[in-house]
Amino acid sequence: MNKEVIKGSQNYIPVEIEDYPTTGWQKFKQVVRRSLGKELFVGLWVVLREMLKFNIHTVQYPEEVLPLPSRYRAVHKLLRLLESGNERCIGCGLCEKICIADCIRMETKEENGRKVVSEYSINLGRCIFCGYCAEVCPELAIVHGSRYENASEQRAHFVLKDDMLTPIDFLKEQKEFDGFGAVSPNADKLIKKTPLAY
Amino acid sequence: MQQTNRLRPFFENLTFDRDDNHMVINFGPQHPSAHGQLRLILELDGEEVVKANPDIGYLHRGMEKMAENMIYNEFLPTTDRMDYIASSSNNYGFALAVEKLLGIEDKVPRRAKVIRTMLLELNRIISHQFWLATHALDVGAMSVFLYAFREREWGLDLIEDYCGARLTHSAIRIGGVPLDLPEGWTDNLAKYLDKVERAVKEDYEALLDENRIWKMRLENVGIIDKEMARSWAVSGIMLRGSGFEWDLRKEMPYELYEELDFDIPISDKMDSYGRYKLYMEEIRQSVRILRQLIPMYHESEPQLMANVPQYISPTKEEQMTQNYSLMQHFVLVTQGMRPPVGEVYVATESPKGELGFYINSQGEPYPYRLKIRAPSFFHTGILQDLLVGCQLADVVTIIGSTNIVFGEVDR
Repeated sequence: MNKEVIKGSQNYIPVEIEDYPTTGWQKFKQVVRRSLGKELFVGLWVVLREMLKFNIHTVQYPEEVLPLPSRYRAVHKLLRLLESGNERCIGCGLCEKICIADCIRMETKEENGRKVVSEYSINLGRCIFCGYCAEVCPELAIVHGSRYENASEQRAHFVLKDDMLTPIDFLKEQKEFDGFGAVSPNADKLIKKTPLAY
Repeated sequence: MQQTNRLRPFFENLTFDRDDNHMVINFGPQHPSAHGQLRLILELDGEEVVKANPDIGYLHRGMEKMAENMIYNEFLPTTDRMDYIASSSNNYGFALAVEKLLGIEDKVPRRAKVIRTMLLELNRIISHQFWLATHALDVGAMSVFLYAFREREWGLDLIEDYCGARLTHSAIRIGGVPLDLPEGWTDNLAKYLDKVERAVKEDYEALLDENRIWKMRLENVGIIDKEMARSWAVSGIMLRGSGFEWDLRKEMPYELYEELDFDIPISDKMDSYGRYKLYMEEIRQSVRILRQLIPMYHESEPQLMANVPQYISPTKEEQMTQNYSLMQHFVLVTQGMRPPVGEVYVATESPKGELGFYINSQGEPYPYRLKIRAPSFFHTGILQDLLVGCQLADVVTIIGSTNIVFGEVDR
């Protein structure tokens, strides 16, 4: 920040546009020039050139699927702790508070002196997929997944916690989310002490 | 008021003289080239427009009122829904306004500034390509639409790689940016810029510049003279297309624009064709800016968010390791930041024109009043004067040329 600010140069430049023909003679000349020039064929040539490249960008959707980036914000996932398999969610309610569409609801209760999340639902019919729930979550528990085909026959299917939570037998395949709310990639180098050390 | 015993069309607050052969028609809100939800009430004399009255409000969601009931951070994704063609520029305008209110705009880290400027310019390219695509489609050039959309999709892919969304990015935060660029992103960006530069020259301009239909439909159509531009408060390319030298990136520089080299094209033709040339030139200048930003990114330090614990949540690493940071995060999320009492108006040059945010803060976590000065709103208003005297067929091209987006007009 101590570096002196380098000033760039920003200039206003007029764009070059030929004067429009005003007199009859100029208009006549323009017609002749256009008819004899290649103006008529430029469009055809450009389209033909693009066609001959055979560089086709159309994706036949249900058969072919575009790869999604790892930061894509689609239907949420609730993650588990890798060591114990317990749910990461501690029921703090930050996601419920920050949710702009007001679509997250949770219920917590006390069990053996610990707070457990008994109900957790995200109304995907209302969710705007802004990523704030993942961003505020202090436990990296609620993240975005990559399932984006969420048509369903019943509205009740849009809220199921069981669909979001990693099944316990698929724990090994659980992946961290790279998008909003992720720790920085070199976090383990930046962190000097873990909470237990304090 | 409507008289029930006579069959007469009824338009609120408008009187039309119906003594002669004039015809009153509705243009939109479902017209495919009404660019969203524009309803134009046109009075026609044959094919000529005698009176035009834009009727807005079909996409009104009460955003300014919503802002009064949300903490500052929560409102940011809502700004996505304004100019949804280039949503990061709205995010940025709002974030900058709040930063100015908090007085932390100098504390935004360098890397965040680079990423923000990159996103702004990428959004400018995407927005201009979208404008070209729809405008060309209105005029009848279908192939331009397809080519422009192809390159636009690649640009959206880049934004998707960065923030995870294609349309409603929410890619900027108050005090910085949420994420660093993913690995290899700048290389992809450089490749994309080459493609855009080629496409502008070899596809769009080759197809349109000398095309006689394009020229006939655009030349001397939609002329905004200097007086009209000034009195209707148009901004952005509409203003520069009328020969005014005014670009907020130069006049009131924000982010890194002071350090970058770029040209701001102006045209004194005042018509749709001149504006089309400006759009093409602006894409080229955005490409030039982005190329300068890539080395700047690699030189910068990795910090992404301003370090102002009073207002900005600590990083995830700090939250997960330090108790005090976690408490601060909880307070900032549940209660929201409390800016000092004061008011601020910040204008940025969005792809459409001057996008301004006025915030009046009474020290509460919610803004007391938030007013958005959206450029498209003024560009819709000018249609009243601009359309009078032109042919019905030109109405479509003039609306296309004004580049209005109705998320922004109705808010």
